[in-house]
Amino acid sequence: MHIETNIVHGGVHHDEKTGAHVPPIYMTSTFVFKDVDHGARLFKGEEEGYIYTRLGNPTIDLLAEKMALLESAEAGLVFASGMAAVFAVILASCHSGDHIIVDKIIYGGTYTLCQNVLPRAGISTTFASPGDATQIKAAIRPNTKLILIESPANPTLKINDIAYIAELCHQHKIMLCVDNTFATPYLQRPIELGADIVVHSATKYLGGHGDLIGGIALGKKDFIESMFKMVARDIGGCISPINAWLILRGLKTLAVRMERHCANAMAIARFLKSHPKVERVYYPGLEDHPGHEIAKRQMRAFGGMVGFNLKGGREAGKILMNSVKVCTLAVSLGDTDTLIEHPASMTHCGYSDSDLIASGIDPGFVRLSVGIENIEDLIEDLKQAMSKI
Amino acid sequence: MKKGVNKYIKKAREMLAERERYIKQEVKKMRFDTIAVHGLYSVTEALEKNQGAIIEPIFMSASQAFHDSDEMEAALSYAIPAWTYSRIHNPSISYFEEVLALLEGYGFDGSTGCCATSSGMSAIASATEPFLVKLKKKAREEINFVSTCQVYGGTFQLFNVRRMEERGIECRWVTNPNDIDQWSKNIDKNTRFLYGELPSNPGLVFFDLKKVIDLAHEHGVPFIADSTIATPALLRPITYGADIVVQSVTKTLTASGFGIAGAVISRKNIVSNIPNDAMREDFALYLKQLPNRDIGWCLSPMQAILSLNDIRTLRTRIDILSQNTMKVAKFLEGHPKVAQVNYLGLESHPLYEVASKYLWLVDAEYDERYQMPVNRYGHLLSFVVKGGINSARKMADNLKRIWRATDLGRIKSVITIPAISTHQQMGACARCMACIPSGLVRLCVGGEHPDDIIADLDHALRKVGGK
Repeated sequence: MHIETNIVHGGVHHDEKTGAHVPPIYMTSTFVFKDVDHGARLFKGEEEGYIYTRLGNPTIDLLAEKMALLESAEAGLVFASGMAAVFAVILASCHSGDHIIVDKIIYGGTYTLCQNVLPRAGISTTFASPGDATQIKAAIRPNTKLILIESPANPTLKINDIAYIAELCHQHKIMLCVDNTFATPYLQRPIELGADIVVHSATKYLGGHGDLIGGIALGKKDFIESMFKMVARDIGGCISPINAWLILRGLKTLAVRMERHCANAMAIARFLKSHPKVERVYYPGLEDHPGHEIAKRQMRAFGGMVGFNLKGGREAGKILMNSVKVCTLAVSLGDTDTLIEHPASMTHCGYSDSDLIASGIDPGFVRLSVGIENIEDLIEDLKQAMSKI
Repeated sequence: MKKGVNKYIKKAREMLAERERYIKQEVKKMRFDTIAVHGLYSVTEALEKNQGAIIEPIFMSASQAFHDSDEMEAALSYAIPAWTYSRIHNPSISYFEEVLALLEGYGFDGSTGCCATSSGMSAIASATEPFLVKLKKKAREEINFVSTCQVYGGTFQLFNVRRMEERGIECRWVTNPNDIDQWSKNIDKNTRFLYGELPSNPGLVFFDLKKVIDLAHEHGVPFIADSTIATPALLRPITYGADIVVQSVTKTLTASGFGIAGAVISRKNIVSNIPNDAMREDFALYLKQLPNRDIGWCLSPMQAILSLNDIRTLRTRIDILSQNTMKVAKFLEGHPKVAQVNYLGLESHPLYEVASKYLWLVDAEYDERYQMPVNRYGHLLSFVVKGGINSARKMADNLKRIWRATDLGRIKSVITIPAISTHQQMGACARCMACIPSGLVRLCVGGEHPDDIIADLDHALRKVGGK
């Protein structure tokens, strides 16, 4: 089957017992046993069945199965958030004393997790640029277990060559985990490119409507099983069945949504590139983007995220933020609505200009999560807001 | 009928017979709380149909798939109990309906059915509509029904404007429902049903239910009760012979306030002068399969399960809320700035006697704390602040904890001034008829500690001018 068909049908079957065309939401914390022996067999894992929603739930399992199919993974495990999924992957692949390598360009939440939380578990992190073989080789230690990258990466839309990095990892018997949130399996399937693990913030394009928080990790069956046993079962971090169901619902339109997100983003990137108040545009779909050739190779299209630097720096960014009418000022991304974020005045407002530049963010940098609205309305909105600068 | 179709019908009959047996021999013997908690959802059903889920799943699916065309034919012709399409029916809605049917029929020998609706108003509209059909071919046919005039403002609007003004169906208002002659005088051969809301919102009017039901049946017409304020935890009109009960499930039944829902509950073989056997035999099922299927005011399966979850704790909740309200009512009764308090539980209330005849906390005699029948009067009261509407507004504006909102039944205390909100659309004249003075304040007491609610009221009343 083609991915568009799998996005609609894959992994989800009619409820056999009741005939429900759309599977029900199993909003239950616990499940009954036929008798004591039945319960004992379930707990020992001698029989398949449900015990308690933290340990497994029919609605959540459907999502895991469907995502595994879409990402060409053997199995998946769903979490309460993308961060819970990332944390579980790290914890499942490392023991205390182990080491991981993380791309310098990474979502801020992941960065903080590595900086502040992992040391408490005795796991150390080196931030490096994984596209650079010498940098990676220098960073690898005997106890390195995992390399974690994003592509396109948040927020500068850097493209990582997944196949190349996967090969490098495997030469050193290190697992590669790719955060595929920006691309989604519709545009890019890292496991087919050689990655071992894929993580998602399902809050973004997978759910697609900004109405939930969720995450998922996918990979080989034995890794997912050990992640369940070592992390999820005892720590929790499980998703609510209703959120899993909402993601299943959102997923059905993933292909059509992504098509529109990509088309709109490309048009906006081109518009911004020709705008006199814009210094630089970050979009992998533009020919002059440094990762354009790699993106063309490993992605079906270039995604819905666009970044750009305003010539007027921090002040220009503030004016733009306060002048847009259609774009919504908000963090998060992947919603049907266009969301606009200016790190210097919003998420990173405590940073001075020099601090910002040191962490790789231009004070005039703006991130757009391009929605599925009419493109003319979006460009018109940006045009009028830019004219205020 | 085709052999294949018959196979499904045979299977369905066995299933229905087993269900009937289960209700009669097991469920009907259970106490109110047990029914509220479980309904008909059994361990067997959980294991056989729902992966062992102890909570009824939310079937968020528009339609049902069938094994083959035979099953489809049997289902669509209503020859087997299927759910087909969620506008008509749905497994989650079914769990919800079964519980409400059993609770309203608690203490009643016969069986009851329920049809869930998208709101309390659609419950009222759908419970009354089938009786207002034209029976003659004449262009104009005199049709009337008789109702207490102390009804919720929305109901008044439905009866007065939609039915009377727009369709020429006469609603004959009874101003004093305790005057049985007034009811009697209004009934004639064109009367289709009698309708009453008790206790009424917001005036807390109550009447001798049994007498009015008997009168309706003497004339061959059904009695329809809006029992929203009482809930089956305090009053089950069907046990007194009422034919149909309507509930705004949005209110006290579901104190969480998670959404809008309604229900029509009926007993089997209702009294009616409409020549329609299916409708008489099982009104709720008829409603569900035919008129409501065509009209489409169906409930969302999500809402059904959210509501069901609230109903599980109904009896204990009503007990506590009633006790809190009694304490608040006594405080208000003694307050110098309050001219009048309407709460059926106050001995000073003119309808205290008749209300006490009917409003009993279900199963109090089996409750360790009481071990005998106990009266409870619900959590709605109303009062008049001295100084009229301006004083009422001043008091309401100075509340800090109690919410100003047009809502009742919540676990949070809510206050309303009906003349400028819930009952504004009916106009001053109709408000006068329904005993709603402009300075009347409606208070629905929640689950907070009553001392905090009293303190809030006391503080706000102090801000009101005058002696």
